[in-house]
Amino acid sequence: MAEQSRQNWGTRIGVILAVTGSAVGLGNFLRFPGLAAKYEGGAFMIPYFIAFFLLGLPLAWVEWSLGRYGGARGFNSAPGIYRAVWKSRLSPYVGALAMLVPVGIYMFYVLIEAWCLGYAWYMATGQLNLGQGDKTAYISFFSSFVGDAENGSILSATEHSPLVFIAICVFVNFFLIYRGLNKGIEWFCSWAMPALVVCALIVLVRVLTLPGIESGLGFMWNPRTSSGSFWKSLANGEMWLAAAGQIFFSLSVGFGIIVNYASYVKRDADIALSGLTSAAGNEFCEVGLGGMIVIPAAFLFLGATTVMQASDSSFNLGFMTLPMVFASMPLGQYVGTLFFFLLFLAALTSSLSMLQPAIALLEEGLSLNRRASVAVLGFITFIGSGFVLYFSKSLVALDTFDFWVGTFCIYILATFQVLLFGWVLGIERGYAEISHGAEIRIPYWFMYIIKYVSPVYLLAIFVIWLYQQITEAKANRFTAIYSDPVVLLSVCFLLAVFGLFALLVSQSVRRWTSAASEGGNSR
Amino acid sequence: MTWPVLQLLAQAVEAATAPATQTSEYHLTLGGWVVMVFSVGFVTGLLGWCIWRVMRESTPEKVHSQIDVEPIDKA
Repeated sequence: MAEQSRQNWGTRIGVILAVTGSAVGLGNFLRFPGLAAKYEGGAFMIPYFIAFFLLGLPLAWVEWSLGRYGGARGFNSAPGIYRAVWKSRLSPYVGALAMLVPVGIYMFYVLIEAWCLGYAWYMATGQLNLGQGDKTAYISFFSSFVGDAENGSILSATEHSPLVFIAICVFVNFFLIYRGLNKGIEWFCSWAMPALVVCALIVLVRVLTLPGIESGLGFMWNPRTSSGSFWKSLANGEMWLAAAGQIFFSLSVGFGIIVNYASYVKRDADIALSGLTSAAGNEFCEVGLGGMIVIPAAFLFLGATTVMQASDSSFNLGFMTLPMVFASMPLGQYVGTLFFFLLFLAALTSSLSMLQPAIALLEEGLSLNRRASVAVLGFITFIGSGFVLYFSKSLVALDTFDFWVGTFCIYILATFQVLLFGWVLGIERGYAEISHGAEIRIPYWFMYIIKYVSPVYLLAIFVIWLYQQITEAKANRFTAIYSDPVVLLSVCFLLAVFGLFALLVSQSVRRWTSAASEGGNSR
Repeated sequence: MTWPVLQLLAQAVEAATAPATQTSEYHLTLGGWVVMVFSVGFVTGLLGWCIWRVMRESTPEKVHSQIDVEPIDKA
């Protein structure tokens, strides 16, 4: 470890932009507006902001604190950080989950990133202008582009193949990761995030200057009373669940990414204000930009029924409905190009952050140099992305990865982290850690929220969500494992990746233990 | 003769610029204005305040790095 050159952030703005970039993704511009429109417009914002303060922000601070705590003790990977906090044999192996989550998500997310780039290209070249009023053409374009008709069809596609875009995305991701934390991730996020906001602002100006946009904004923001009264719609439990889920996924908490990023922060540097700033940056992109663009424009051109049908699925809204909106909109070709390019930037800043946690483990646990760790991770993700790409029929593999890694494992990891902070590190030490070097004073009652409210909130959401999944007869995720061979294969693949990371963790633990027994360092 | 031509021209311009579907049912109500201004204003204000605080507090010695860990490793 002593021979390894340690990486660090160059500037404070850099780390804030990197964490914000990790959080801002497709969910900000597609999932959030869809949910807000679905759940009674304005009424949705009440549970949404409550979840932000009771769940999102506390969890973000927990990850920042755990990360800097571990970083100050020489660890950058989640297994090492968890082990530094909790001296248990189990703790580093939970860290293997913090490797699986970002890497598993990367495997399919890089494909979605390529779709965004491809759509930006086709929009710019006019190939995505398939006429107004007929959604079928857009559905079949998407279907052939992602190859959801048959497994392996994407490899033989001649027209509108995403392979070139996938190759570009993979190359850019690994090139930036290879350049390192400061010259790669931080450098890229420092211009990509402002560029993303500028693109979004241009699109926003176009949308807000459309004739009749007031009704689109009304559809998005009016507290509707379809269920009888405003209070009755607030009593909709499903809406509270959706709002908490959106906050949870949007802030990228429970991904094992913020823990890793924060470990590179200086011991005496502030994390309280930095954590709040990156969370606020994510919320601005989500509510201030995402909430004002997609649904108002889509409503204006396609009407309430089409928008409500599309709002359930981000893919439907983003890749089948919005191109039709841009085809109808004056200057739509340019606006659409900018919109898909900003989605691409948002996806790229997120996918970059998904690779760094595993790189950290390979570097510090196995003492691999940057080139070797990038090569090893490149091989693992190549196999994983290739798997998802090949089993493209009805996007079953992608959906399975998203469910088990992008939802199920995230809940488990977030719950573990909040318990680690509140009950193992303890709220006294935890508060001292957050407050160390802090430029804003976090009220102490936040510690009680972290210790009691957040775990209960998380567990309640998890149990209700699990219950819904089990009782849902149509799309039961658990029975699908033995009824659908692709789902079974996908789950086995993810278990194999988890096993591989557990093996790497066990090797790392052995090295750390022997280094500590030699009295070389504090491990 | 001029009038029908102008009418046609006006119709063409309208067709090119007006959205395909418009519904007056969803005009932004007072409640909608309140929710929109509060939500967007809150997140924008929060981000603005955070940026102002970060800029105000940023000093060269607070640049992030982990050089403080180095001596432990080298020891």
